[in-house]
Amino acid sequence: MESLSDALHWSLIPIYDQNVPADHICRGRHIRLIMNSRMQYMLLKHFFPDHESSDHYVWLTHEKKNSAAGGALFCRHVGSMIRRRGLLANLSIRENLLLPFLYAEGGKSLEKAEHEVTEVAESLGLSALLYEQAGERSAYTHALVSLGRCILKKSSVIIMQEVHMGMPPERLQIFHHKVKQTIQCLGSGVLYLTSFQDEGSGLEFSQTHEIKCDNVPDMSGIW
Amino acid sequence: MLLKEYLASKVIVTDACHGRVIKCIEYIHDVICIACLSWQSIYTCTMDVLQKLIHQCHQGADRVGIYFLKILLSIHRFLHIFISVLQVFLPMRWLYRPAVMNVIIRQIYFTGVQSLPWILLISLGTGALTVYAIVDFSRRVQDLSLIGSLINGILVQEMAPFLVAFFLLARSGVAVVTEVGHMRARGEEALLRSLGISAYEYLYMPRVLAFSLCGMVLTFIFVVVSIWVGGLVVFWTNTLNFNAFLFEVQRGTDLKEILSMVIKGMFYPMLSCVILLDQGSLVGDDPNQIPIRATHGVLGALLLILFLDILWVIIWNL
Repeated sequence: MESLSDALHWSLIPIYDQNVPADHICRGRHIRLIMNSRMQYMLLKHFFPDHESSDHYVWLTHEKKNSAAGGALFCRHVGSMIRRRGLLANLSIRENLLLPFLYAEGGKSLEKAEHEVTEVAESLGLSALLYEQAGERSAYTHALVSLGRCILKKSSVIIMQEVHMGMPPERLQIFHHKVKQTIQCLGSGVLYLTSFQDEGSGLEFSQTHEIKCDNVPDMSGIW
Repeated sequence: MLLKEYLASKVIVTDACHGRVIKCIEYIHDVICIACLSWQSIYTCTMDVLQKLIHQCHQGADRVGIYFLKILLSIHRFLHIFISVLQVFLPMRWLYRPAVMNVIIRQIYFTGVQSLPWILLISLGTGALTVYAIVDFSRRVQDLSLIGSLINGILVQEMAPFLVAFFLLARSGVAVVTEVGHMRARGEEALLRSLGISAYEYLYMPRVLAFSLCGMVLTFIFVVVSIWVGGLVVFWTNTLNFNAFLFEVQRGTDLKEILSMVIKGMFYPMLSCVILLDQGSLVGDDPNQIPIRATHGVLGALLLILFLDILWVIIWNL
């Protein structure tokens, strides 16, 4: 699954009357996009479309092959940490962590992930909750489970969207520490979407793009 | 004044009658003015009424148009979900995905296994009453050969698929809309999308499959239990010998009618489920929409079943 050649590219993406500049993320490269949350959701639609994307705005290069956003290869290598979108309520925390592997065909990756899941849960402080049904959980748990999935997938690129929102300050500190540690460990590239200039989960960014737009139409409900 | 001058110029009068003529002209002028004003006001009033009528007609046409477009849109969404579910079902990749199989098993358990006691209970009551009434009627008209054809026509082909579909709608239909609606409102479909998991494969297809399979199996169970219980009731009330009853039922049964039962038993719940999923997906991020969508879903599915049944009868009798 791991490859040094993995890079997430996007061309100039028009969002309402603004453009997100073309750029790319490879391992170890972190980029931050500052924009309001509606625009973030509109942008996420390009990264995680309903079907394999045909608009060619976003693609992943993996071992000299291009995979469009939404494709199986893309989803296998690109991890996501989206605000309060980390859990399926009717599954246990363990099933939530293993969800991409339970969905994938072929049992080898699932077996491997099942061996690692306890260790990952322990490192994230989720071991006590592992067999509990997810139900309604805090933003912190949502974020930790998302992070756990990225660790299990060994994502070469992680897309984070205001995942820290709604966390109490003491939890935020712990979370920032865990994110930093994980990203250092995995060596993943990060695309960080935020509304605040001073927010970045303690990561260092090689590039920050700020896209201002006050008249974005209401897109609530698309994500 | 212009009118007065005009009239005066056209009438050649002597001085003696000049005053009378002038009065007459003034009178005519007044009459014409009043008539003009009345005409103007009548015209204005008529135009106002006409404008209002046209506006109302436009509003009515708008409403009809919107309603028609909504129906077309619903049909489009229905077909889109149905085709998408078929597209993920037919390649059978879901058989190798533990996550999807887990959902399918759970849905079959909730829709089929947990419904079984209720279906047995309904079939006991319905079977006893219907079969007894049919046998009694056949005896009265002194034609026992009617038993088989009536049981097939009424119980097997009509009542069983209908009642099972209604029961599934009442019991599991509301649950489907609520569950899918909650998942939408909580953004779980977005999570699935970000993990590259098809919502059609993970959420929709298992429910449609469970409704279709369970609908078919429960209809079959309903028919078997109804006929047996009905036969026993007929035997206990000394109306007809049990063996003779079974013989008459067998004589009136043909493969075409069983096929009709199987198709109805499978398709009515399947298509109902697609409507329920469509309504669930319309909840968006507003949880207040869930009860509204549940009501719309169940009513829509009921209407669809009625419509399909009428269509089926027409096609069957062609």
